[in-house]
Amino acid sequence: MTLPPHTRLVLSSLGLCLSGLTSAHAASPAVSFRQQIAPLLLQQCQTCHGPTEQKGGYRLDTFDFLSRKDDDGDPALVPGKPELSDLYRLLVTTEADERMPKKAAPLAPELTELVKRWIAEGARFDGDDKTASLVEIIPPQTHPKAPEAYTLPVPVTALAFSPDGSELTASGFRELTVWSPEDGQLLRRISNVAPRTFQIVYGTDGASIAVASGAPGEFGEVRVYQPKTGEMLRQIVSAADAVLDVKISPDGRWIATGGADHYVSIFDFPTGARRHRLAAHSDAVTSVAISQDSKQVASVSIDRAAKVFDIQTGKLVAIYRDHQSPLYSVAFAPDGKQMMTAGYDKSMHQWNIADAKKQRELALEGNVLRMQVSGDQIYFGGSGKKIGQASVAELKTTRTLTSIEDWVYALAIHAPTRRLAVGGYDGTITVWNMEDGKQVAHFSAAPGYKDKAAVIFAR
Amino acid sequence: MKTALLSLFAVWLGLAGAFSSQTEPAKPQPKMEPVEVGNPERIEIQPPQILLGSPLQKIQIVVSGFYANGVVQDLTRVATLSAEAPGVVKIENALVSPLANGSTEIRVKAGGREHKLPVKVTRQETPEKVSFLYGTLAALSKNGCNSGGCHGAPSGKGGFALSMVAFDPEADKITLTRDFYNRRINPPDPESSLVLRKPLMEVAHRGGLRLQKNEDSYRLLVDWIAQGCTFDDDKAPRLVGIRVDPSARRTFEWPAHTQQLRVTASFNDGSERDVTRLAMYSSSEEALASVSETGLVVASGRGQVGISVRFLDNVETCYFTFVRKIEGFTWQAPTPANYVDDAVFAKLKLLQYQPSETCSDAEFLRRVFVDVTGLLPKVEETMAFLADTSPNKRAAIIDDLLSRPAFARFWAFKWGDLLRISPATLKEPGTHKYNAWIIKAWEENLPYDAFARTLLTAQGSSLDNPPANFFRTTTNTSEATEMAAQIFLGSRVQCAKCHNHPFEKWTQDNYYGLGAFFERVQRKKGLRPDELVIYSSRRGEITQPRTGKKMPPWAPGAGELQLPQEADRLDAFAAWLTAPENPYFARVEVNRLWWQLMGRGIVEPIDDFRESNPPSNPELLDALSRDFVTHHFDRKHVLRAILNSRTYQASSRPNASNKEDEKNFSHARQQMLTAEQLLDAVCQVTGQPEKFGNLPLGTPATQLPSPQPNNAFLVAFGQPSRQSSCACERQSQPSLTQALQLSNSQTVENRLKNGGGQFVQSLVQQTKSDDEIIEKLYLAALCRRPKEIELQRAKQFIAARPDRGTSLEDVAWSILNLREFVFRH
Repeated sequence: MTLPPHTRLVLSSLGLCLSGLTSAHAASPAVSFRQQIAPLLLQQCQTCHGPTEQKGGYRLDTFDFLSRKDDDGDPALVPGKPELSDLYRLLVTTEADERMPKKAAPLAPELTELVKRWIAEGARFDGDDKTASLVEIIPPQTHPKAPEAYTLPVPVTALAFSPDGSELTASGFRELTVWSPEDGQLLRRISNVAPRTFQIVYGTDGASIAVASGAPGEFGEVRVYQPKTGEMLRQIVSAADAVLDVKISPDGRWIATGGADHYVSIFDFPTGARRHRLAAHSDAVTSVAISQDSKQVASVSIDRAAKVFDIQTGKLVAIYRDHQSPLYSVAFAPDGKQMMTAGYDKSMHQWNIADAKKQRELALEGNVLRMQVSGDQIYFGGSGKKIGQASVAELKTTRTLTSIEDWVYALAIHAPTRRLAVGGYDGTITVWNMEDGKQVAHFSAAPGYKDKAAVIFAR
Repeated sequence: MKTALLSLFAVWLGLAGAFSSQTEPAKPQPKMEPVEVGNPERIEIQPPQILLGSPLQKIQIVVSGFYANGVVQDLTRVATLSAEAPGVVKIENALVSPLANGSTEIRVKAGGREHKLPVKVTRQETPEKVSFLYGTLAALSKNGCNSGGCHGAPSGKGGFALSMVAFDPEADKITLTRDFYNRRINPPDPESSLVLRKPLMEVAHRGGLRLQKNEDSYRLLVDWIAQGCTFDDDKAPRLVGIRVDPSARRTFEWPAHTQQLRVTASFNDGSERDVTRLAMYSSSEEALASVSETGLVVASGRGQVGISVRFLDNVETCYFTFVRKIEGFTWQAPTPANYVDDAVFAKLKLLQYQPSETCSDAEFLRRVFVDVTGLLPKVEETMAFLADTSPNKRAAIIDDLLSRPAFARFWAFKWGDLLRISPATLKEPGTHKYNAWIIKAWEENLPYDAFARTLLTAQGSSLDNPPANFFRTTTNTSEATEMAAQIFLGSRVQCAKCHNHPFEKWTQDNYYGLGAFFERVQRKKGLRPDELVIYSSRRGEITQPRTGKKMPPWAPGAGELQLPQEADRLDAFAAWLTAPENPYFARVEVNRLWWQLMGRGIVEPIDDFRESNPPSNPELLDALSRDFVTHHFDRKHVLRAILNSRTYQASSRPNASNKEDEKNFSHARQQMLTAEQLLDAVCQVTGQPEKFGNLPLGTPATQLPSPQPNNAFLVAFGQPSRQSSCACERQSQPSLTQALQLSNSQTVENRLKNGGGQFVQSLVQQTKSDDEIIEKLYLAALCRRPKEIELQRAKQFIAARPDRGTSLEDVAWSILNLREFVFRH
């Protein structure tokens, strides 16, 4: 079985502590909040004592909150005195209805011992910012390697063309795979990636790719890699749940993300400094988009709302609530005055940013998960097992590309070479020539997967 | 609809509790007595042979011992089971799981008897492909994931919504695999799938710990994911039913009090599979017997219990009776008056509960008056009855009461609750005409089949043909279907509107099939004010919203009815319903009559007939129903039989033997008078009637044509507003408001005081001494004379105060606040 990186970290550092204890108590290294306590709290406690819910009036998603009192006025943390600290006491109490975590087995004694020692040692904070969330202060991990050969296809949830159109980078399991879009040949693999990748975007210079990823329910991150060498350059985001989308502004200044932790975040791309963390939605943020003029960012969510923000100030510009179902996809019209949004209600809406009024609606056969504007056309796909193409101006279907076997999870366009690539639940990638609507290649994106011929079709 | 909503909500909550408590850490294990094996005449092993054709299969063995005296008991937990050849199977708690291909025998030893069970293990080298329908969904159901309180709720939990107990596999397919970018499953690393890590609490889960790695459910889910989350194709076998062993009803005598169950699923290709560890279990009465997640029934009390076994949408119920010899118990009972007592006493004798003695004449008189007419007897009637020495006086007063106008009016009033008679829906003329028609039906003792048929098939103007108001209280097919099912079939089918019924065989298809009978009911405005015309159209089909199929009329037990297109479906429904052989119609009504007199149904609640909610005394229900049908659905006949029984006439004081019995009718129930009965009683004792709207002064509350929402007293004591056909709409919870109403309200106070002392004056005029006044008060309120000590205290109280009038008022007030006055006992 595979543990999430945080647990692995706790356990490995624990081994260290225990060996230290047996040899000489005084010599054992101090317990680290960032490396040992924060991952534990994040995994075991934050769901009920975090930003979305504060049971007993208590939250511990930052060190600052952690050390405050709860509703009863009992101190959560008394440095040096674990027995007086509720943070420890409630983990080991024999009172069944008091013991944390509630509705679950008690924590292993090694873990409660760790908390006890940390408090006994003075409950020191070894980070920079006491108000930073736990996920942000936990140091980045090296992810386990991808399987050499896949025994099953994995859904393709993200695709991106290189700026010259010669390479197509796809999501894999704990990796990115790089393919030739013309013949489906595997060019290389990029490792040290979280289990699942939900979006891949190239930086404007083509020398970096930003990758939104994570393990659902466990953690999320946005990392930047060198696309040729596969080297991880930096980690921009650490989140409590998978990051589902990332976009870089056309002027290269901004990077916007949205994720299953309900947040929309805006960073300065060159420095990685966070500018805004917007609690914009009440459910997972499934997609974000940045306007052509790099001035606005839009988001959509499972909560059925679509929002537009000023990228500079983070201020809300528009809210659109006419959809009846979870939203998965958002795009700016080329003129920057209108939005296109779609999701599970089988209908694409086009609406004005200025008054949040619906202008046009396109009824569809299935759910829409991905859409992308190219020129004056918008391309989209989802559960309908086909790719639709519509004119942005009239929102009328102009063409349909069929012969996809399952749900579409990823869509990428390279306008100069007129290529459109689609990734699906079934683990295949299909590349079309947008000029004549003919398929260029159709292949399984699972390296070493033997059940079917890896390249199913290549022209 | 508040009450209906509340009761629905309660069903949701109940569901969460009943089927999903598997891994709550706190669930205590029931105490088990050691088995007294003795010397069985023979032992029986189920199944007769063990065939294990896949690594995922496991088989539960059940061992029963049969004894010379006709007794049977479960020996599973004491039998020694050992495999002859090592390494072929593993046996743990009588559960056989495969280890390697091969053949052997299992030697079963119990009570000095021995049996050999042939065993064959094959195909262990081939991983079994997990069936989505019968593996994955069964595992999710077993662990409560898709229960109504969790992800089976209409909008799910935490964004993850499954269909309740997997009634919609197509939707679950999408949710588990395609939805949210395949978030919940991870085939390349199955054990890291969110759908597993959450219930294991490896990732924080609001629903808590719901799964353990050593459970079969875990293995099934992991394998299904590892195999790439595939679905059953069209050729895969389909489930046709489940069988529960032991299949016959069993009666256990203490210390025998446990039974291991065994559940077998059968498929349309003729194959069978043991699903004991995947089935879900619930007990009709947890306090009497609980059932574990592995199908072990453990009783802690005496009585009959129904254990429901569910595997996906298949539900079977098995019944067990647990009896216990009580030290020094010798059966003593009044001589049975009729078949009612025969059935009740047989049960009580079996369970060793001594029935209470027959109640006193005073108790009987007050009880029978209140139950049959809603009113207290007049003082003269009480005195005459108490003085009467004829041996048949109880039977005589029963006949007398059943022929009084107050009887017809009071029972019409009860039906008014059931039929939701209220001007809010029927307007004033409709209310009065409909009510008058029902009173007439009771006066004429209209046979119940004719009564029901008339209601169901009445067409035309609601003003000219009063029973046509039956459908007027509903606005659409769903409401009509649910009302008819609740009233005539004693079934709460509402659940099945959106999903298969969580506790019963009712499926969503059945709901719409039943609805097909009512789909053609038409309602249109008449020409006169407040007139509605009800008629039955000859066209119109109902569509099952999930499948989009047009549903033909369907009736429980009868299946789909083949009717000509032009047939009047209401006629067809009424004909099916009122046929003497209909298994529901007579039972539901006799149970309701019983409940109205006894305060508790033989099936309880009275509108919740289902296999998983068995009658507490099936023989009694059968006997009443048989008598009812034989006597052409004569309701007075059944009432008379019940009223004349020793069971009805038992004292409400429990004895040492029966004080724990709540459902076998060993003693009469004490229960608070209904709001209307209590108000009438206050009016009767004080001699001052209540005025209701435009109704003539003197109309008793128990004969009102419709509820009086402005009457604070009636509202406080639970008068229903008649928005639901459920008896539960009438609130019977005691409250502070009630105490205040009795002690301190104008309703009581004005009657004693503000009428210028009228009440006391009337007493003083008629009688002279304190003794006589006090006696009359007791007779009026409690149907008995005061005891010596009561009399003395009251007299001392009066003597110690200067104002005799006020003191008499206070004495009357204190009697109206006695529990004995407020209760029927």
